[in-house]
Amino acid sequence: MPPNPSKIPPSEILSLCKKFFYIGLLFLPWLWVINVIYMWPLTKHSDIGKEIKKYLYFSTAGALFWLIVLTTWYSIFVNQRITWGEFADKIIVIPIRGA
Amino acid sequence: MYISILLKEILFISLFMHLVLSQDTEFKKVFYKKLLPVPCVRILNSTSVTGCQSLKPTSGLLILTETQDLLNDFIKSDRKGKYVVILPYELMTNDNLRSLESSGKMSGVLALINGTDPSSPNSAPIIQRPINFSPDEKCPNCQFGLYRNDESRYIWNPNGLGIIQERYDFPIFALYPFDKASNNSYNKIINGVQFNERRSYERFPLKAVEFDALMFAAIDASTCLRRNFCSPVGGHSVYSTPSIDMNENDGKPIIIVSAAMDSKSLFQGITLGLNNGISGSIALIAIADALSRSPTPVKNFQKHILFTSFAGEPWGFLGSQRFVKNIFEPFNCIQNKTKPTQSCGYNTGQSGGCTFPCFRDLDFKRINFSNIDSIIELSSVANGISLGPGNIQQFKYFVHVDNENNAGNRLLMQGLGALSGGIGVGFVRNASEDGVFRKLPPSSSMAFLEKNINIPAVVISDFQANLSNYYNSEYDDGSDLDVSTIISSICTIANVTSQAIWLHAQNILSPTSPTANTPISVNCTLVGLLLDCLTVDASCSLFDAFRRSKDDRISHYTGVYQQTSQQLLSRFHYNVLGSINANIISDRKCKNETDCQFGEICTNLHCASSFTRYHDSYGAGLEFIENGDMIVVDPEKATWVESVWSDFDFNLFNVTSIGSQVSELMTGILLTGLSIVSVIFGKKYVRKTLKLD
Repeated sequence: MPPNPSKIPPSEILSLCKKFFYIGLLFLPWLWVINVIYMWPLTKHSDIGKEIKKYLYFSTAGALFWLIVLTTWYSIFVNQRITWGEFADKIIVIPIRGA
Repeated sequence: MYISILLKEILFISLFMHLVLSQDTEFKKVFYKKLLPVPCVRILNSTSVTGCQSLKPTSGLLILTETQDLLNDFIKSDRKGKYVVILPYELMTNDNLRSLESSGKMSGVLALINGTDPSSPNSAPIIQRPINFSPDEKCPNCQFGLYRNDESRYIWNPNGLGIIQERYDFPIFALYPFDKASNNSYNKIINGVQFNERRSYERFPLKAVEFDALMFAAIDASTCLRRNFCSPVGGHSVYSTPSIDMNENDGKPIIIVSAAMDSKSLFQGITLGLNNGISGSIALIAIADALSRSPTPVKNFQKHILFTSFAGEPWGFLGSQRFVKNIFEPFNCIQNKTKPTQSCGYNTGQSGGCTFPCFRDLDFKRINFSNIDSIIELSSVANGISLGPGNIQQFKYFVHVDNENNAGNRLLMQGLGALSGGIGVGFVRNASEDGVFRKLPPSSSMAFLEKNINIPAVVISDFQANLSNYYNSEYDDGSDLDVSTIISSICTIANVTSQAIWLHAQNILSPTSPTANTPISVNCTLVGLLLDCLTVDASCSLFDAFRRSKDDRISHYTGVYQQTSQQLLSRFHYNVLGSINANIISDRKCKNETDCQFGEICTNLHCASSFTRYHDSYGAGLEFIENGDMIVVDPEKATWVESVWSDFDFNLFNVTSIGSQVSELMTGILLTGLSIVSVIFGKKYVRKTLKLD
């Protein structure tokens, strides 16, 4: 449930949305996803809706960026792990058995 | 309110029960029967991956295909589901295994090696033992031998199936009943098959097995070593000599008497290798014993006699190659900390060793390679007796050499021939007497000849043209031969060989030397005792000094190299050869070798000095680096490593039809739904009646 603008001052909600976005810059893409899901109903708010929408778009873009980066890395890693040899073994946290 | 608490309690208990039951182990104890068959293990080198693997646990209905036709029918059939196929070992050809794999119906294979119908244990075996069966290559270890670059090299094992060198990405286990546990597994599985056959694979429940045999290794030896998922195949070779004072500069020629200590087969746990492995080692020990009873002590002869028992020869001659490498190349100790370290566990200060490269002792330097006079190697010698015309037992052994024109080789061949009854007529013949010159069969001598091709070297065996019919197979267990025949075969050749060595060590071996001049003979009772010890008898007295557990049977598989701990076979050879070649017996009492000082053997409960040492053996292409890690240094040489694995899971269970499995699941879901609904309504009802709201 999104914060209720009739109970909390809209300016405070907006600042919370901004904080979510800025903290998300610290390699926390899930926080951006939470921000979007949590705040999305408020984009229709007459007062702060436009501002919130702007930050939610930023958050979505950031989360998508991370998604692309991580899936690309994952597919490269999975396919190239064997060819990289020793380097790949060094960056693995839990050794993969039998493959 | 009390009822509410009670309801919560019931809910909690049922949840708890659910958790307990879903725990793997508890669940398995109730529904599964855990069995212990012998697995096929993944083994790698720098260029190939061999052995078996199952990345995921698999299961399948038990089915037995007794003949090639039945197997073909199974592969072609439109059966649904997965099966665990029990194959008579004879049918385990690479072609059959590959067609089973591509049929998509097979989740695992059980190799039926021997065994009778469990319902009538005295009946004939379910499968016939084949006359020829070798899972090894057609030219075993030839890529690591002296003739590896020789294009027209002789094919020694034409019947070899080559399945040891293949890679199978599905689990294979062996059914080989020989003790209580393996008999139990075997009976349960065969009963399961018979149960399924009675139900025509239609009336459920049917018997199925589940495997989990994940091998950690992947890709190649160097990758696996780096990931710490492999251990090097190998162990400890043993060398021993009565010449307690042998040293590098004494200028005395050395006669090397050699044999391979262990053997190989597809299923390591049941490897025995009676002919290929045990027979040669027994002959070696019997010769050492005979020479130790020489009227003039052999250490006073013109030549030294050095006995070498090499570990890991079936894996690219790793024992002999490492030994030769160490005695041939100049040794340079880079670091010696004189006490055990993380990377070198020996107390090198006590035994005069070296921390890096790690050696317990450096006594191998006392063996001067350039002093080697000749090599006499005992290959398989258990089957030297055949029935001749008129059912009369005939002895026949063959001497193989690299070069028949080498004067030293000629002398040894003719000397052995003369001692056995005459050159060309006695029971020891030239392997090339049939007009075909095949050079050396796979043997340890090759490692020496690699460094100096002119060293006279003879390999004595019971085969002439092809390696024994069960070469490196589980069937090489002697059950096709009579024990007394095996004993007299080993004893006869050991006798002649010991006489030849006795004469040769005094420089008096000649093609015409009369046998009366040799007051040396082999103790055939000792041969029988050794045979018993190494094959069937756990309580054998020769093991007393060092054997902890009394298993019924020792595996003669090479095993993996562990720096400071020697395997049973190595310790056996060390103690037996060491006692035979013991020199000065002290009055210090001992129970086993740990009670004595370095360089001493515990013989007859007394410490005795003996020039008998272990020598590390692992692939000649592998080397330890300073931090104790092992790396591949030469991918062309033997680099065999064995995969680490977690515990095998092998369970027998009843499987129901798909229809009943679906209905079970549905009933479960329905019951869960009903209980949730009843708890919610019950809670509401109770709160209402007790007016809690």
